[in-house]
Amino acid sequence: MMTSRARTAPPTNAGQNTSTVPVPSGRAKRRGRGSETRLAYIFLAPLLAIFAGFYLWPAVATFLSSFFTWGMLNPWRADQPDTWVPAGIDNYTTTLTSADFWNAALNSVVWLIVFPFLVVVISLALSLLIWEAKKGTGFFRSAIILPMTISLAAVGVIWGFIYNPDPNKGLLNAALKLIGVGNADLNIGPLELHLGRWLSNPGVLHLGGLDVRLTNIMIIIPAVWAFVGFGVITFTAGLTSVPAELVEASKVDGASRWQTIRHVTLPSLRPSIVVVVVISIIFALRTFDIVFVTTGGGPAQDTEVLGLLLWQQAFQFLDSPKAGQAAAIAIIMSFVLIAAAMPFLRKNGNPS
Amino acid sequence: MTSQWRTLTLYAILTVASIVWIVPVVGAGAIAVLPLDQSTKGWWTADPATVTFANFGRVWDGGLSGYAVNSLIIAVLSVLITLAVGTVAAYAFARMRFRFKGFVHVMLLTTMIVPVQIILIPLIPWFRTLGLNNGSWQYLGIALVHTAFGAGWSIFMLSSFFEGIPNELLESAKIDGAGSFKAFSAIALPLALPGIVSFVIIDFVFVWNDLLMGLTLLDADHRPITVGLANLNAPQLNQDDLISAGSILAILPPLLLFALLNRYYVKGLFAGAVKG
Amino acid sequence: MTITFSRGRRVAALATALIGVAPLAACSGGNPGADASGKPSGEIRVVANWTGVEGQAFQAVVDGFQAKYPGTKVKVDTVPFDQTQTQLAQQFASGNAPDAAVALPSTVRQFSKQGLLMNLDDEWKSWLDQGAYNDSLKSIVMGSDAHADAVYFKGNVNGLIWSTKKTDTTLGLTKAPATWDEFTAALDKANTSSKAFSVGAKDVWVPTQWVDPVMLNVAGVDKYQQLQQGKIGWDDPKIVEAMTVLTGLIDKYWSSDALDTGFSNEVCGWVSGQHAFGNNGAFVNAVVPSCDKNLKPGDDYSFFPLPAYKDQKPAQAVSGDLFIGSKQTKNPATTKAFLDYVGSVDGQSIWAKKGGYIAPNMKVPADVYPTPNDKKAAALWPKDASTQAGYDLDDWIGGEIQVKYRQALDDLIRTKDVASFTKTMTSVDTRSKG
Repeated sequence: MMTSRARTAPPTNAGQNTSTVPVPSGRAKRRGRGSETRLAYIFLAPLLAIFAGFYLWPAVATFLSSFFTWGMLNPWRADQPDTWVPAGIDNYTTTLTSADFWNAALNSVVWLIVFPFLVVVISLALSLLIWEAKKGTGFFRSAIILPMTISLAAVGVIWGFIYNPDPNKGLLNAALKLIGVGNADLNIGPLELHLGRWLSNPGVLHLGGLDVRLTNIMIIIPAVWAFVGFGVITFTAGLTSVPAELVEASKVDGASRWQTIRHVTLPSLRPSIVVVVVISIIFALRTFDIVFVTTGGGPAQDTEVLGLLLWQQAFQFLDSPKAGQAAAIAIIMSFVLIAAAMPFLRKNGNPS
Repeated sequence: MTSQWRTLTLYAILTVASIVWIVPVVGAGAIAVLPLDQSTKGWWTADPATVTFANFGRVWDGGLSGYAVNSLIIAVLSVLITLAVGTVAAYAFARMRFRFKGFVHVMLLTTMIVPVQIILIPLIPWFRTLGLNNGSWQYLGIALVHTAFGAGWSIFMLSSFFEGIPNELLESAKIDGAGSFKAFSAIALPLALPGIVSFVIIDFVFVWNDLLMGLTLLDADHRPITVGLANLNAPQLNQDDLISAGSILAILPPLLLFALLNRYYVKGLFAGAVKG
Repeated sequence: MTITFSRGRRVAALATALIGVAPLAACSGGNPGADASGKPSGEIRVVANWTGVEGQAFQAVVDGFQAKYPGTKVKVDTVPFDQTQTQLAQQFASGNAPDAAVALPSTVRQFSKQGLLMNLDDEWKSWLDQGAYNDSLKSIVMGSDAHADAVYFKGNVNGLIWSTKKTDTTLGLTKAPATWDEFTAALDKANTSSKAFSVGAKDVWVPTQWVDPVMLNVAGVDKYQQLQQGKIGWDDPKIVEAMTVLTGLIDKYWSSDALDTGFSNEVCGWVSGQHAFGNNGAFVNAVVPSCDKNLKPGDDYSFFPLPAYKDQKPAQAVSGDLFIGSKQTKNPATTKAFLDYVGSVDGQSIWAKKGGYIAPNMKVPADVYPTPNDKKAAALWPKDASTQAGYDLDDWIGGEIQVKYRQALDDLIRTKDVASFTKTMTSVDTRSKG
């Protein structure tokens, strides 16, 4: 989404493509401006009205309500100031000092790092391989793109069968049994692994004082499985625009295939990589569905991500009205993402 | 490495990758068509003679049909509303000039970036205020939320299709005396149609696959199939036959769309990716 | 605030005008003090959370109600067990409250605090007068508004150690262990290549069902109830001792894949003989056939209650499901009639006959229970005030503490670190600290 526009009009044929660049001629600009602008507002109004009512106002309400104490059973309502229970910035200070928040933040950070990394590496590798292949590309690409149509709720359910701890039901444990490993416990340096306990206790990475539980990874893998298709599509789109002359020139210069990829293809794919990384990050922070379906955040709080914590606080913790705190988490999450994505937004914010 | 070996390795890796990518779905499909006593011994060793479609019937009659109908209503309604308000707005962004264009565009695009949780929490009281909290009004409510939250994507994708239309075509229409609206409806819209079809498919799949909104905003009678599937899966009961059949039914409509209209689907995402 | 306020209103008006819905019908705060006299008729909606055999049994109770009051119709909305509380909150918050709903004591307290529940003092007065219930059962349905706000519909006794006759024979277990030492001796014997207990802790409520009987027997019923009421904390020495005993059991006798195993696989684990025992509530009697249709309750499988720990007097762990009525109901007559029916001998006998159920109504005769196991379990129901019993801690506390409690138990199962568990729970459950 946020690559440079240059790729729609690659440098080699930019000269012939000027007709698609939407610069209205001076005459039309002068003549039709008034009525056209009026039409533009008419065209925009319905969408903007829905946008205001079902996105802008709820978002503003989230922000405002994060300064009040409330729960679902005694909701904060803008039109009933007599029922407000002001909380000042307490919801933010409580959140930022709570162990639950930081536990969930750590799990979300694991998502934010591992998910985009795996998506980019795997889909880049697969795209390049498929690009190299001459036959069957349609089949390979379809097989890999197919899971991206599946809802993450269903992805969680489907992978639940793969992860089933019973070797008579779960494919992974059947494979472990076949090679005679069973439920093995391994210790490799700081890495503690429990093979076969995929969703309960697959292992811990001990980083000094910080223990990173690997259960998150076991949920990230199915999500990657589903998301790689998007990466493959994006990279394939990017590959079509790698200037053929450059590749040829590199070959003529006697570069090996790997050198060509390294010095010509990958640099040309930079914009696509940025797209996939940014979208994966956005996606990773939103995570809710697949965690809700597979582990519900457990065991203990091992897989509780921010999206789930917020949901629990708003809709599950009735005895301690925490919707205000949930709203604070939503604001913090959005702030982080907007800050991270602002450069890309800026670039995209000025349509020609 | 000789070129033959290279080709062999290449295809070997791709074949293995394709298998890895297909096996989870095949596994769920296999469990879905086997009686429970077969699949619990390992679906890969099951007797093919025992294959049955009874599980689908049981899970469908057991309540999934209602969820599926809800999903269909929500998805179709969301797509229709998004299409109705999105195409005209996207055309305005792609082809027209107006004040605060850049600002409004950025505002809409934020929906692509901020987590959906930013609007989720106050929606229940808000729906209550608007009267969208009961009966079939809930369908409209969630469809409007999908439209609003999908506004960024729809503007982003649809305007890319309008931008691809050569300018002379629209200008010549105007010179011929047709108004701006006519240029849109008679020239731009038909030309953008293939792109719009791609968008419809992607938007449909996106809405069909939503769990969080359906779970949070709707009552038991109006919830989508993703929630139905989560409910089947939630209690740890010995019903893998029903769960797997349910999961296959839930993924079938998007998969069919994908299989039948693959070209449009990939093209839509492709266009989005290229436009970037 | 005024600026944002008027802006909010403007946006609201805009959106409302746009979609043309008449708003503010939403503020229908129900009809407080609704008249419940009048003849029951018409439809009500009831939220329940039973599935499978239990779902069918509940439907039979509903059918019984509809047969008793012709012209009424009960629409049952089944929600997943673990999401009952969340979904009820959503429905009440969105103004779509069901007429009646299954609930736990924590829900009753929370919802009554917001004034959402029907007052059932009159029903309870007549039940107490008839001797159908006692005061200790009534204390479980009390709301925060000092009224009885729920009906006790389904009883259950917990801390029953189940095994098949085949296993008993293998272990030479001819009679139920009467002391803790006999109990652990039997467990030691059963601890062969696979551990003595089949445990399905993937279902988060399963470990909580271990805490109750062990704590009742180790710390005693008084400490148990003080902890439940928030009068003592989790760092009380007796409570710590109970958790230490439980952790010893987990460490020594629990299957190592407990956190990977769901409840139904737990039951099939001891039914199939893969493990010797299961610690389950009485309702499991109805679940066993899903593992093995051929086993006969009583003859082929049965249970013994967890024996007393050292010199403590044994106390029975009980739990159960309540029904609440919504104050906002548009059909108070039928709702009240329904609540009355599910608390009555007639209503409860229907499910009792199907098994896997204990009628909390003490007037339900013992001969309605279909199998020896059901009869034996029903006899454990605390009918007179002298019986020592403790109500399910997990179901009682509810809300955030409940969620955190379950998470802490998961961690305890994994780490066996009682000190860490105590520390977590002391910081989560601060009720005793004022």
